[in-house]
Amino acid sequence: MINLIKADFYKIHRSAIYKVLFIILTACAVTTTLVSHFVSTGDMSFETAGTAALLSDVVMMNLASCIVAGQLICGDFENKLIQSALTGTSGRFTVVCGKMITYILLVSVMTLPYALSAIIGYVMDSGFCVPYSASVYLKILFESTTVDFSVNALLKYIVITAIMALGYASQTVFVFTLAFLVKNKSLIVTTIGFIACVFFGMTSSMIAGISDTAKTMISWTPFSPDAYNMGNDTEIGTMIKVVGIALAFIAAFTYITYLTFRKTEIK
Amino acid sequence: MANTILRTENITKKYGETQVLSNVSVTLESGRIYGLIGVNGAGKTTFMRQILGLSIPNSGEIELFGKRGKAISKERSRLGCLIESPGLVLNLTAKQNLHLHRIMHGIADADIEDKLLETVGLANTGKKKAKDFSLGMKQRLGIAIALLTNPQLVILDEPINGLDPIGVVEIRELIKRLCDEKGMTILISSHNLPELYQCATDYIIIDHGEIKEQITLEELEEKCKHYLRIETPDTEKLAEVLESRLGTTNFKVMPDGSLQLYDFTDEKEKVTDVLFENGVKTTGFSLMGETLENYFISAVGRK
Repeated sequence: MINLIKADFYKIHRSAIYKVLFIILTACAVTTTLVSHFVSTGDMSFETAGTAALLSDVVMMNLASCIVAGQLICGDFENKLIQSALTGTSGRFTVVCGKMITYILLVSVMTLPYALSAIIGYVMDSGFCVPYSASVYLKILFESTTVDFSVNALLKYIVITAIMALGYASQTVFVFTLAFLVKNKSLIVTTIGFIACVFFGMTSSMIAGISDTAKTMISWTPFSPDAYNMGNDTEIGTMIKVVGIALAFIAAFTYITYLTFRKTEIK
Repeated sequence: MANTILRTENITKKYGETQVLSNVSVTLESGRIYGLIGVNGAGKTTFMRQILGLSIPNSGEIELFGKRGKAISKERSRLGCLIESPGLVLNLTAKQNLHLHRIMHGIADADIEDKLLETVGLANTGKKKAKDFSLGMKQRLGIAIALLTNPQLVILDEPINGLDPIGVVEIRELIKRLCDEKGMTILISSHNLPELYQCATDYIIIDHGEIKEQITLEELEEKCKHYLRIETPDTEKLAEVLESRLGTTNFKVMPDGSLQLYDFTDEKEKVTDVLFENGVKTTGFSLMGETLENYFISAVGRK
């Protein structure tokens, strides 16, 4: 399995699309940070800042994850590398697990621009606010004005950004399964996956507002507000819960993907 | 002593209502070159895909290197394959593509990349990317990838497709060399019978998803010698007369109902006299020298 992951990263290293995607995410992260700063200083209105919400991690990471799944999995079906992967390893479960690990690592790498922007912003303490909600990274920026700088706080924020990377991977993990179902049509995976991600993100908060039972149910999914509201005051128990739910979702979807892929015809 | 590399027992594959493979039973032994012959749509590629685990048979069993069931997944790492078109990343060079597959298969020997490129005639492609390769170059690279793991069984599906005449000769010689020098077993499919005839040691004839015959080169050469083709409405009586009156059993009743007599090819008159005397009505009588194509056509029961 480790060979499959290494081979994937060799291919990714040589591919332009991942580099372009990373550059776009970096630009979006910087823009989001600047918007947060300018709204805080009064140089930009909340209304104007709202248009930049599309560049926030909540939207961009969903899109990036769908593109990653499409390229990583559908690409291999398209160029027939999946054949080599199957004959060179110990079977389909190994292939699915290897791809899942690569997927999580890639999504994590894609969150780096937002994570680094947040951490650097926190260290600089230049004044930030939260112009649009539901972003851990913006919350970290905002807390630079309310939480005094300390190594402990910095370490906690680094841990939170790492958890959030896992959170994004778990939120979009169904796209991974979708890619194995659709096989060589990456555009379909990206389009349907992104629409579904946005839909789930929106409906989860709506469902949570219906009743306490619904809220509890949502709190046991990767779309839980616990994940989006992590900050310096978040308790260790809550962080462990977010990680546990994310890992459980990833494990479940790995198995579901294996079940769908177990007897799939490989062209 | 030859070892059994692959044994399939009654492999059946259906796509919807279409039966693509019917009770395919084949045995491959080490160090031989097997030519899988069949017309387009005969089931050659589907059969190869079952062996490689790219498709799962509806019924039947595959034994690979003595292993069955789930254990064969691991044994598949001892296979090399080129099915239809090679698995290439088009924005990588030939060497980078080999490097990618080398990482994937966990092969430590980095020198193998250059050696294989030399072997398949792609050593001078430099920084040219696979997307700019001709079909023949892609096939050559696909063969190099198939050989990367030094496999014990190489499965090549129409490997000479797109190759120029010189390339065809080179690949044919390479296949022979791999078998002779490295003892590799090779299963190669083609509808190009004369081409297979120049390299295969065994032939598996497939048609409509059924194995019609598995035959060695020696047996094939024996069968392709001259014979008398006799057509009659009563084949049973004809066979009886040949046995009782001419004392020969060196004949074969073909699927189309005709009979091929391999004796008395220089004594046609004697045969016709005996048949006439014993009341065997003949509707056709001719001396034939069977070619590989004719043999194949007869074997699959088509005129």
